Amino acid sequence: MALPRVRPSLRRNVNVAFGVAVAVLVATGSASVWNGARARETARERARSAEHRAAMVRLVSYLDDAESGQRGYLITGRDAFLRPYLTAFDSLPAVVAQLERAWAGDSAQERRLDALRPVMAAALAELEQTVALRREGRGPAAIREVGSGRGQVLMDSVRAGTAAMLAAEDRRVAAYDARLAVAARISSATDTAGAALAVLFLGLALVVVNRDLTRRQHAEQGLARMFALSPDPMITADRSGRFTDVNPAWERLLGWSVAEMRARPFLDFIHPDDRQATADQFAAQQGGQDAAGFTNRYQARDGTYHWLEWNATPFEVDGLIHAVARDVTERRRAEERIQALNEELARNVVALREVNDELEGFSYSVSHDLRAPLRHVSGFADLLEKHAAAALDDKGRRYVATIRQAAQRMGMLIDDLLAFSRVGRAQLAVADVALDDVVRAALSEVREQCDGRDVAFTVRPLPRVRGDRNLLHLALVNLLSNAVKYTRPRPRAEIEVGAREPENGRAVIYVRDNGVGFDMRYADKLFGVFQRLHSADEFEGTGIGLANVQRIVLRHGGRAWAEGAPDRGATFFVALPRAEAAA
Amino acid sequence: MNALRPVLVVEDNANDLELMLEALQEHHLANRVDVARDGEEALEYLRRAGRYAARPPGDPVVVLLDLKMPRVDGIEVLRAVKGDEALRSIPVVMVTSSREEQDLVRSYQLGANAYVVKPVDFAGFVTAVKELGTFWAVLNEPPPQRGDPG
Repeated sequence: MALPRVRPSLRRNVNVAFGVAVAVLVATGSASVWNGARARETARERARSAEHRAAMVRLVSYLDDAESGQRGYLITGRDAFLRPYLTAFDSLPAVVAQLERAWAGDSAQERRLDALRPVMAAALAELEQTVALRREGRGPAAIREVGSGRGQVLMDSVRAGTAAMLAAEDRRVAAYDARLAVAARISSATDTAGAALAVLFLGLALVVVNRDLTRRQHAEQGLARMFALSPDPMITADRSGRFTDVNPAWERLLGWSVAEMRARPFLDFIHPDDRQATADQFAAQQGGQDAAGFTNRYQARDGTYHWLEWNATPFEVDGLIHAVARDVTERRRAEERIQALNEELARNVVALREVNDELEGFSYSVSHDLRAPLRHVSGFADLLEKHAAAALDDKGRRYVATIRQAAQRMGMLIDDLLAFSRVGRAQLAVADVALDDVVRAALSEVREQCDGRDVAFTVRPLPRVRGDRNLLHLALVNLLSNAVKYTRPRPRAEIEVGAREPENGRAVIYVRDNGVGFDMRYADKLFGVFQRLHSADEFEGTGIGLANVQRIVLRHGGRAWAEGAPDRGATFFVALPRAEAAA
Repeated sequence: MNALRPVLVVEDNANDLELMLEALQEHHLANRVDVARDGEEALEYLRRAGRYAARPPGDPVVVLLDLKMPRVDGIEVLRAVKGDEALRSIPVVMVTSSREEQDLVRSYQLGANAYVVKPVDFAGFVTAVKELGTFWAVLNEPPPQRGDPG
């Protein structure tokens, strides 16, 4: 079952969030490493400063030892008191040398050390001088010397110098401590911020992925609902030819449960005649082809077969065939019915064609075989009249004339009948035709039949129609002749041709006359072959004209009808297909 | 010259033949009228074969040929005449009661020189035959006679 496509923007968002998180972690990590290196360097410098300070303290301590040793010796004269004094004197040069090395390049401390060195030398010299006096036994002189306070002043000066140097070194240590504290704070801040940012972006990615997963889950649920809801049967099938999934529409359609459908190979459900085609089709799908409109028959639980039309497609991801079917049983039945009807129609057409051929053969022999004896009747009556004119009385001559007239009338009937059959058989040369032109041409033909009568023709604007010009001409000549004929009793004949509102998309024209009219009871007889509502004595003609009109109109897919009343004129209507192109 | 050459009427129906001869007579045509009663006889006449093997040479000035005849009908005679190098220049007029278009078209396709429908009434028939006779026997200059230096 296909899920909504993973949006490219989603993929990008997730990747960006992860990327940012990683970048933040890398940046804060390297900052931390750099910061740590700096802090270690600072700590080393601080340790050196502490060492220098310790050396300073040792220096001061040696000076104190030297002084207190001197005082003890001066007072007691015992050499034991001279031991710290001597140690101090032995050790001091090394300490000073150490400080000189340590402060090389440190101009402030060097300057202080340089200033201290002569003062310290003088102070020590003072001590040595007093110790030397006492050793010579001149104790009081030594005491006096001490009492002079010179040594005291020198020593104070030395102490002030070392105190300044110590203080400087203390400041330096304090500065290092401050720097270390800042570094520690920075390190902690960047670590915290980095962690927070990384967590933020990872969280963001998680949210996006979760939201998409939810959406896909919903879509999946939606598809599952569609699958269950579809009125059309749906399946998935594996390569072994079994259904892997079947929607509930199957049970509604065929009566098999989902489990039953899945239990047997699907070919078992298919009409034996359709199995091969279905297997071939299934193989084609496995080869990667889609199927559209394939039909086969499935057996329902009640044993009946349903025609199913299939759309199927292989799904390369899960290797299954996905397919949707539709029950087209009704359509198939309708198609079969239509086919049966068509076959019947075709048979009827053949039969009709045979009848038509027969009729044509008939009209052909009518034309030959009936006309020949007529001609003989007429011809020999003529010859009889010519040869026996003297021997015949009036009655005999009238008989001969009647024979000739009857033969002629029959000849006309035969000719009309043949013409009528030709109208039915003629090929229609259909085109857009302007009825104005057709009526004008027909009128010029019909006017010749008026024999000097007072006939007023009125022609209103007429539409363009779709038809065969020659046949339409014939129809209009017939209609107009009819009108001229049946207005003969009128002192002034009035004949009008015009158009009415269209009927069912067809143009309707009419021919109205003020002639003898007809009884509407006989309206359906007007258009029959040789049907006449008046005797031949009243109005000449064979009664084929209106039959021709109707046949022509019917062949155009139109219709003809008439309205009238005895002695109150008649109106003939003709409905014809309208022209395709606008006039 | 024309007056000396006969008109050949090919007609199987005795009544029609009589009317035809009557109509030709009415016209006082100087030409002799020969009659063949079916297509086979007409072809023998024209080819001077069979019953007409002894006929003196000389083509008719015109053949008035009925369309519908037993055995060899008018269309077949027409086809034979127009397909025969020696006979094809003889004018052939189809005289028939058929108004069928297919007969008319086929006749002209096969090379008929004219096609006349016999009217039902005799007066019309006489008029038609008269016009035919006048044109084909009197006015029309026929092709030179076979084997005739004139």
